[in-house]
Amino acid sequence: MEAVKQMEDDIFWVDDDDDNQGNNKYLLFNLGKEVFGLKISSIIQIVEMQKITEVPDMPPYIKGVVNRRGKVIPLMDLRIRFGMKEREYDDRNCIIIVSVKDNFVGFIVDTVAEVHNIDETNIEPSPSFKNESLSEKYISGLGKIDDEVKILLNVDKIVTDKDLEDTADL
Amino acid sequence: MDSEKKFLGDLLPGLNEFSPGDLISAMELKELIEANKEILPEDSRNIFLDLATVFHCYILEGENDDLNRNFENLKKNINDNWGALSSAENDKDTTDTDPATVLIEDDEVLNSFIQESHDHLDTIEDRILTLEHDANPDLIDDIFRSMHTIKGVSSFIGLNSIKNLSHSLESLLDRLRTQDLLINSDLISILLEGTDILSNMIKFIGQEAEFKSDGKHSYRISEPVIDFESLMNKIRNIDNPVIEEVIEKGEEPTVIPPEASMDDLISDDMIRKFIEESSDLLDTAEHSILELENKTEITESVDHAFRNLHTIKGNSGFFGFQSIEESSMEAENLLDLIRKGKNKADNRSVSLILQKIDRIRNLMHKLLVPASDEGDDNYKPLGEVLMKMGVSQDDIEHAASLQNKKLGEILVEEGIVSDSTISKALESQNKMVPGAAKSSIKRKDIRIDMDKLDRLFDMVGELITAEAMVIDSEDIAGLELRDFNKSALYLSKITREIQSITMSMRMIPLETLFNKMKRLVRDLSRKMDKPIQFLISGADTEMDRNVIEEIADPLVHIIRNAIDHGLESKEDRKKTGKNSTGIVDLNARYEGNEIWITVKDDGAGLNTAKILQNAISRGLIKVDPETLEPSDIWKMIFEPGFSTNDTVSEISGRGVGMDVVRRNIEKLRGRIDINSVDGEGSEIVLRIPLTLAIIDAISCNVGSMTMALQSSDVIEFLKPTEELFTKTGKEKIVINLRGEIIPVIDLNNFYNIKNGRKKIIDGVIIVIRALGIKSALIVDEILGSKQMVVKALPEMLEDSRAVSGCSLMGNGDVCLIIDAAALIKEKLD
Repeated sequence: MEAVKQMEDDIFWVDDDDDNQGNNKYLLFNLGKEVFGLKISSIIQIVEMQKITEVPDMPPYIKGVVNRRGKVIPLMDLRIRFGMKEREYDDRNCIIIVSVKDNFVGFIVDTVAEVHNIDETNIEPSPSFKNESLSEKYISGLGKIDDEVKILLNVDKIVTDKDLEDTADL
Repeated sequence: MDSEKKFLGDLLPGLNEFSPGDLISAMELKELIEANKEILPEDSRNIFLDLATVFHCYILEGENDDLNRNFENLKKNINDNWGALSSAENDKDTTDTDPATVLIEDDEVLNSFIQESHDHLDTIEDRILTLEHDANPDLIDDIFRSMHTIKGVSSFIGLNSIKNLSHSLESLLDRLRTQDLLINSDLISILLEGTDILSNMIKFIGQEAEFKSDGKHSYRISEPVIDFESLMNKIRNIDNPVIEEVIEKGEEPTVIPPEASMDDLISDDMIRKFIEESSDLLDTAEHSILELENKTEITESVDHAFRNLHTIKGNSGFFGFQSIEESSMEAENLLDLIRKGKNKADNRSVSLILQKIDRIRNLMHKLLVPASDEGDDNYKPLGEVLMKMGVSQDDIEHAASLQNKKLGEILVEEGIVSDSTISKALESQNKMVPGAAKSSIKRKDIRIDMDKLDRLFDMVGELITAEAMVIDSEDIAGLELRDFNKSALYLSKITREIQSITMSMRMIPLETLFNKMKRLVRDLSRKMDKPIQFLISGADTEMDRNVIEEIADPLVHIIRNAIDHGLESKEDRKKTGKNSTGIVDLNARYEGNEIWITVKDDGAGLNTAKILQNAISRGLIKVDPETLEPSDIWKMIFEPGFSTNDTVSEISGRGVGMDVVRRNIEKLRGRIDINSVDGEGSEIVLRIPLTLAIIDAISCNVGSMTMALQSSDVIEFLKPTEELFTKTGKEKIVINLRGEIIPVIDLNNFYNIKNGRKKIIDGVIIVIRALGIKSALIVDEILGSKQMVVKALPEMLEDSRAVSGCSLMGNGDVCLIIDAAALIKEKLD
């Protein structure tokens, strides 16, 4: 937890020299009781919660924008995006800024847990169920760390998938 | 693959039915190609992009023979390859139709060639047009020099068709110079046509290079298929055997024997450039030669060195530096022997060549010193000039003895010559200064990548925001900080200065754009047989480069419209007692915070009745026509699909153009004004804000959001009182402002803010005007007025209504900029 705290304050730049390792590294974070993982290589920065400027006419999961070093970055609340119950923000909430096709997007998550190596051999495709819940649509695989299973997310899909907007209202 | 199939299915029918006058189809097809370029396989993408360029040329320049030929070639090519809609990958290489493929080893050389040639061709075109009514030998020399440079470099790179064409044009110009030929309108047309073809070819090559380079160091490009044989024939047929001779010489770059006229031709600037260029060439040649010793595969290096030396030889011959020419020829011969395998590339021959290179280098070094004096020959002291104008030598000598003032001033003070004589003399003196005369503008500039400039621009924006963050920091609010305030003021001064310099770096004069219009008017005037006097003023007005790009298309459409619809035919003008030559006046000027670009014609004026009737029949008018002002009716011409012309001419009348005008100008947050007087002409004014990036804005709170309105949209602020408001329907409220009824837009309602203020009465009224409509906005609180650096909204947030961008406030908060026009459009009818 200490290491993560440090990351929150400092900028977290992905180390390009470490490409191979970076490919297997995942940032784990919590939404409610579930643990999700994002590939480190897509993450630009992790920052603590800050004042959000609302933007009108947006779907409920777009919370607004923040200014990060002169860049205006839209924020997406992953809880709402995944159809989970909304929760009031406190100082444990974090913003994970990811880069998708050269655009920056911030994900609001409950807490950031740790960075973990997950070998490709330990990642299994998500079994496809007939009635997928919202969060399941955005899974790129299931990663095994010891006995636990972490849900690995597909960033591109979370950001660009439009279908969700229709279903999110349900 | 499917998407490609679909694209071809869309494109081919349109392509085969396309006729060159059909501008709508040209636009549609061009857009279709551009929208789909990503899906095309890389090996065939270029041919479609070439096609798009041809369409673009049709739109911009209208029809001409070369374009048509080019189009037919491409069409055939595409039909051959994809005609059967065989969606399977077609591996057939298209190179077999290309005249030459060239291996590019050095991006830089090609890119700078493209850039430079582009500049050269621009100036050449302008000068050719000037040449038509002013056969100034200096001008011909200038054109000749530019053409020569293009030829030289293209031959160096190996672009044979460009080399051949520019060579022929150069020869033609040479004959003009030696007065072997006289300037006439046919000749001008040939020169223009040649310039066009050259610039098309270079454009194609530029695009191709962009696709093929892709980070690679060496790649092949092929020259475009442009058939300029008919032009070459025209050039040859300009009746003189001399030209044949020159062409037959083929490979040799023209070595012009130094003659009397050469002195005027060479400026020290050129010599310096020659030396700089040649030094580079020598360095690389030396490098290649040194490689010879340790390499088994030498052909490439030999060729490389040979080309470099050949260029030096050619250039030094042009300048008349015989000894350099000789030495490079010797080195060239040695290399030729190696190339043909007659000599071995052993230690001995390499040393010999290196010796020659050293010799050339020394010779050039010596040149540097005298070269700097040479150019001044043309410059004559003012006294001498005045003497020629009839001022006596004694007077001038007397004045010269006083010398601590400027000669001109003294002469005026002593009453010997009048002010106007001096300025006339100074003017003619200036013309003698190399570089100062209009005909040979040389800029003191360096090339900077636009990306870098944009980045700098962004950074300056951030700097200003950061500065505000520091100075307005809450930590120091209310403290008495004399020293700090002084330093802060100083800092602000510096950042403003940096900002204005950065902005000015992106500003370029409208001259280039306006010069292009000269060509357009000339062509249209000939084609439609309407004699036109084209007046240009304010070409030195500077504008953001990006903005100039955006207004190029609108300007073409407006001028085309003015000539096609505005000006009457020769006969009609005579009937109404007008001069048979129509006037089109293009003007640019600063007007407050805006730049106004005006296109005025002295034609028949807009036909209000016809426009109205037409707009009604197209269902464009939704209110009672009686209530419309003429200016509202005139604006109808900017509606999509609008056209009053009964017959569609090949130039205009399909109603595509003016719609583009409005779209582009709105994108720039500009406005269009129209004035028209029946029978006397019409005037269209494009009002473009000086800068897109920084605006004066009023910021305010709406719910938890900070929003801003452009100051120029705001008319006044009001404190609301109960009696001001009248409810006219559900959610419909108006205010009575000194007798004027103004609709109210409550931003809290508009943006569905739930936790904001409950009553209108607790807010503040901001009266705005956009699109000619006034409206009263209700916001929570006014924060202040400041300059804002506008940023685009992130892509994800573009759905947001009536928000045109965002900006950062001093405290780091994001502020949304309201687009007043869009807001009014959204809310009111």
